[in-house]
Amino acid sequence: MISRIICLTFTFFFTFSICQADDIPAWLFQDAGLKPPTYDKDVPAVALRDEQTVNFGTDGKIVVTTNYSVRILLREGKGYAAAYAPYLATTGKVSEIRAWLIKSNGTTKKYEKDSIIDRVSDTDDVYNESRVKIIDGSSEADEGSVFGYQIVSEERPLFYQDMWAFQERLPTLYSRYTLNLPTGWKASNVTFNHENLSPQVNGTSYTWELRNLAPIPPEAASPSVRNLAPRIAINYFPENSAKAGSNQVFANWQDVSRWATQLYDPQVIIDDAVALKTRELTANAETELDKIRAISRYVQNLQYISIDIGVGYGNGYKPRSSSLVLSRGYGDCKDKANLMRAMLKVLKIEAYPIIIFSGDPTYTRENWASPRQFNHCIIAIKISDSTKANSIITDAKLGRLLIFDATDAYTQLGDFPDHEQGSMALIIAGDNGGLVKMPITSPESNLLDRKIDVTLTADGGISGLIKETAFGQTSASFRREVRVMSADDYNKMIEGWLTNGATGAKAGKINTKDNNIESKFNLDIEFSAPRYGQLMQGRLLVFKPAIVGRRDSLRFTEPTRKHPILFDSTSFSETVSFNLPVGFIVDEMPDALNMSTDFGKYSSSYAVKDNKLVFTRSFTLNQVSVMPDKYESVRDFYKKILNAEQSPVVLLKK
Amino acid sequence: MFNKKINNFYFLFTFLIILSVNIFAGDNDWRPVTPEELSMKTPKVEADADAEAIFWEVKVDDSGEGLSLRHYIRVKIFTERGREKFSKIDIPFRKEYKVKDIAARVLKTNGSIIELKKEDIFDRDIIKGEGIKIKAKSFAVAGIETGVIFEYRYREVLDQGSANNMRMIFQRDLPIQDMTYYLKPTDQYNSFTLSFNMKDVGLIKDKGGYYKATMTNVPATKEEPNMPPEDEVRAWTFIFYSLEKKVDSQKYWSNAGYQLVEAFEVKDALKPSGDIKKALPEIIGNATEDNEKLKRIYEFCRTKLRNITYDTTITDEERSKIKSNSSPTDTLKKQQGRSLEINDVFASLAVAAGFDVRLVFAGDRSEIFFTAKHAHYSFVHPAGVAVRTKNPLGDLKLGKDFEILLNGKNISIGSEWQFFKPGNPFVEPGNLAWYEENQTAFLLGAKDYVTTKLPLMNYDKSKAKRTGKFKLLEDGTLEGDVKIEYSGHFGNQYKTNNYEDSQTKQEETLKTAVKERISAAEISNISIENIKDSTKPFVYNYKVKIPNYAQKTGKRLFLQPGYFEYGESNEFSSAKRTYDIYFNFPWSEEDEISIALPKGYTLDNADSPATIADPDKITSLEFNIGVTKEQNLLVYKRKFHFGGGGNIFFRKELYPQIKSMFDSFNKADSHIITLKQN
Repeated sequence: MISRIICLTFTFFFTFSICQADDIPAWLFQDAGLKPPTYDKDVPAVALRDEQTVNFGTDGKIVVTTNYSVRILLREGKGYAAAYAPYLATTGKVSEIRAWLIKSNGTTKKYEKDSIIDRVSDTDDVYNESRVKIIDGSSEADEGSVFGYQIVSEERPLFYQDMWAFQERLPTLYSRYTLNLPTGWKASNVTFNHENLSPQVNGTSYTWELRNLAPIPPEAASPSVRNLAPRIAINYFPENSAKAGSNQVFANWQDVSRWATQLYDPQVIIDDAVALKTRELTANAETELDKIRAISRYVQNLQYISIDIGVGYGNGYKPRSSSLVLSRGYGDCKDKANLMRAMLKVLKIEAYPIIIFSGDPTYTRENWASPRQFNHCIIAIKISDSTKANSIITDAKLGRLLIFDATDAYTQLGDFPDHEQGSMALIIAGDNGGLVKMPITSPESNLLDRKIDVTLTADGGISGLIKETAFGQTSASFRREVRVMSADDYNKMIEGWLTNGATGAKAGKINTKDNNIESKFNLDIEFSAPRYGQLMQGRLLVFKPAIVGRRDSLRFTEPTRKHPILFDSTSFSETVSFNLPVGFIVDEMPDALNMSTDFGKYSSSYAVKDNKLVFTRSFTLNQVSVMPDKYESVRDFYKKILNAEQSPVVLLKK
Repeated sequence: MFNKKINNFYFLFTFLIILSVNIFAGDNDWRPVTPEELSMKTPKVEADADAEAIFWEVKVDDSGEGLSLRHYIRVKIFTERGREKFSKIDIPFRKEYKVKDIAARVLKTNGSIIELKKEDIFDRDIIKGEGIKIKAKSFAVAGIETGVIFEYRYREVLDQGSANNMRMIFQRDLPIQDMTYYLKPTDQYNSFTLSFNMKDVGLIKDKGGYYKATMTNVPATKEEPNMPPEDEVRAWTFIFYSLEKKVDSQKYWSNAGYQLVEAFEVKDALKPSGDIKKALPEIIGNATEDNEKLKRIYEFCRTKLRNITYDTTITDEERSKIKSNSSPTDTLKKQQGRSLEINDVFASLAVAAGFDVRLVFAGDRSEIFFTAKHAHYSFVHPAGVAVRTKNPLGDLKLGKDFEILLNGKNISIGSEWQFFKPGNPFVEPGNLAWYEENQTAFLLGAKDYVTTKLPLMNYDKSKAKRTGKFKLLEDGTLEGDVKIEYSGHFGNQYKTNNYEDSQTKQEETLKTAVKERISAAEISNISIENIKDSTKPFVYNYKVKIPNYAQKTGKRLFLQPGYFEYGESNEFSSAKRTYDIYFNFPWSEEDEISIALPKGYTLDNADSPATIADPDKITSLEFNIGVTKEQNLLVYKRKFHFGGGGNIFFRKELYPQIKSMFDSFNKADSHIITLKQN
């Protein structure tokens, strides 16, 4: 007992002396003494503390104080020893950013002001007010060291709403969010990715806390970390609503729609130029769909350029006027949707902007009405019953709506980007607006159909023609490839794909054809590959009937799985006709395979007739989420496919 | 010490010129656009181009106070990709620079013009902090679409700048019809150019005190597998100033050699101090043979001096704060030093031991193929130490009849030189790094220096020796133990790529590499040896299990015995080739695989692929497949080499043969044997 007291006393003095010397806060020393549990050996670092306190003042400003500490476990985790303080140059500021390092040998460092770097958040934008202050300790952090920082920032919130994620991918020992409100204010929250969390309330101070959160490792086809890490969404509001001032309090999605409508509607400005351009574009269009398509192609082809000015004043939610966007010939997602809306209005076709989260269809949750759940803008076009397409939804108030993303340059009208399919998104239509589910296209509408006609010679050589027809989102991928790559790089990509399947394959003519109306893309490739089949002892000719890969790259090689698997809706069918060499008969063929599961189907078959071998395979995936306890069945499904597609056919010389 | 040396070096070679800036009349006007340019439908230089520069001009004015670069680019847009590329212009610049006079416009095919408005140009602080500020002027290009002409111009001004040591880049990532540089050099020095991968036309006198160099119909640069370094394929010119009226490469190096000796304190390194001499007896102990003495000195430098450059127990910040040593004696005293300082200690000890020693300065083949014609000091770097011995240990030694150039005269200083790079813990004693071989080098002594061409290490010295002991199960699963030893430059590369990673990451790197070839592979029991030992090969040991490795049909199993080549593809997949083909160094592979066959199966066929080789012995791939008497163990041996006779560079005209050869290797490596069910 005595020795323990001495030890504690010593620790206290040691700590105190270093605190004095290097101005290291006591909380950081306390964190450095924490012993995290043992994690998988590839976990690079552990967050010891992730704590944010938000003080909302009666002047409408919030002051946010963040205290964070992280222990580096592997050399590869050194990058986590960095403090990032984002802010808006016009309406926010980082009033304080301080950081410290306690190295594994006990030495300490306080980062001085000259360590602070201030840079733009997005170098791609022509102009963006979002900036970030950084203290980077990664070059000094070693394994076992603890890096901590404190950031104090000020901003004026647009909405009385906030979000807090209790962790990122790193395991987190202690995570806490505190909201201090003025007298007469209240807060409520909803919880995502975790059982409901209630705050500890002390007067008008609300605190939510979680401890000992496990790491979230990256996995193939996994939900994003936003949909795996526990997080809360918070609303705060005065008990007397008159005190809310100009800021928005959203009780439901109609509130959000009404708020956004007053930002969007005034920007639909139809001047002579907009009207003239619309008439010019639709001069030869006969049907409603033809007219919409003509406009969609024009707007889709406008250059995407983002210039974010006045974001802190709400301009991030407001498009530029349609007349300005037309005159400049460029714009961001809101600008494009708004111009398209104006042009459609010229034709007396009603349309509504939709705000959506792009990148994760499961991100937006219905039980928190907030514009903060979105990062992208698309459009809903009101159509008559005669217009048919895959991306149509029916809204109880607004009727039949054709959904279109004018920012995606590769997805054509009538189709819809897969990373947005099934998302909950907000239609901005005043009182008639609200949250709706976006369309999900069928696997068949995203089909890749391949026909290969090939001649096999007695020495194993093959030559023939591959004809691919891609539809829907598969055609969007094909379109992206041909547009993003130079002609030379595209041909090299095709050659590389061919030679991966058939050693020494040579591509002949490569023809592509993009069909804008049917959202279809054709690719024809003439090819040959000497010695594709292997002739053994002059009597057996062995070859694989699956000549080239299916083009999907999904692989499940890890033995275990922690999180659900998200599949996109897609399908593939292939028929390969081999003209067999004279004098050979089929001695052995692989067995046909037929598999059907909740998430997908696969079948392959072989048939011989008139000295022709016909190999077929088809593959379908549904847009579903598969729970990790079913991982073994997914892995087994893919293993069987891999095996089936490697299996050879054996010909015997008569 | 290194920093001090660099500073001295720059003091010797750098010139700062302060004169006045002239503004050119007419430089703020757009030049007329011809009807042909407006109506142009297809590119002139490259048929598939997305955009093509009609002209690209850079006017460099170094005649005044500071440096001014005036850029004017006119581009024709042909495709959506071309439009995308030029839809947004960013002109980044450091705080020392100013960017002025930006103007841009789009000319549509119907003759209408959209000018860039001043208010549409954004000033951005990209990054700012203590001692660093990078800004940018950015603008979006209104009205850009396929078919238009887009042109823009701007001026960069550097108050304290000079065109000395500047590069004029004639070939860029888009084709250019007319690429012109104008240079108005300082009148205080004479200016010279070195041209690469283009006709050395020099600078032709033009109007207003300018000199001009033009290249027409310049294709865009490309990326290809196994191509020479970028500086060896794109067209560029190097400008430098000198007080000399004429720069003769022989004379230049004659002077530069002495200046390098001064700047890098070669004399200090090669003149052992009393402390060095005092330390020597304990280091070499009872060794009497030359090679044994050198071995012990090398071992001392490798193991007893802490190598700060490669020490993973200290952070980058700590490394940067460690002061440079003032001399080899200082390094010896502190028992630690940076890479070059350790080389110097080795050289000093070797001189003390009575050896004839030189410091080696070589080019960097990963950047450019250096020869003495490249008369500028910036093309060489300190590479290691050369020691003359009777029986060199190393793989890299000069040939017996090798002639060298000493101060302009051909003389022989003996053939038995071997090389050491003890400051690099991954390079085997007797060798230099691959990028230092096979090019001109300077062997600098205390009193004289020689130029020579460093030889290239033979393929058998950079070897991957791979062994697999496997068992094949009835269901096609392959499982067993693998050992791979990488020596020579292979070993150096693996060590360099892994030494900074944690053990977890090193294992992950191996797993990823195997899974890229065989996605179903399950890897376990990994051990990695000799990462920091330059005297031993880099070694991987692991266990692997691969379900369905062999394909099963009704009565047969089809097996690819070449496990190490399974899933590999020929990177020469393209039928076309723009650039020459280039491999970093000659190498070899030696595989020995044994596979215990499943019960109930016998070999139906175990043909060996035929040997593939060329008459010049540049390459060879041979196999030996056999089975034990009991028919239960398959033994597969494979030997491969490439780069025989030092052939690692091939003109593009030979591409069809190279591609065909590698296709044949790939085919033979994926050879399948058949097992039949009894």
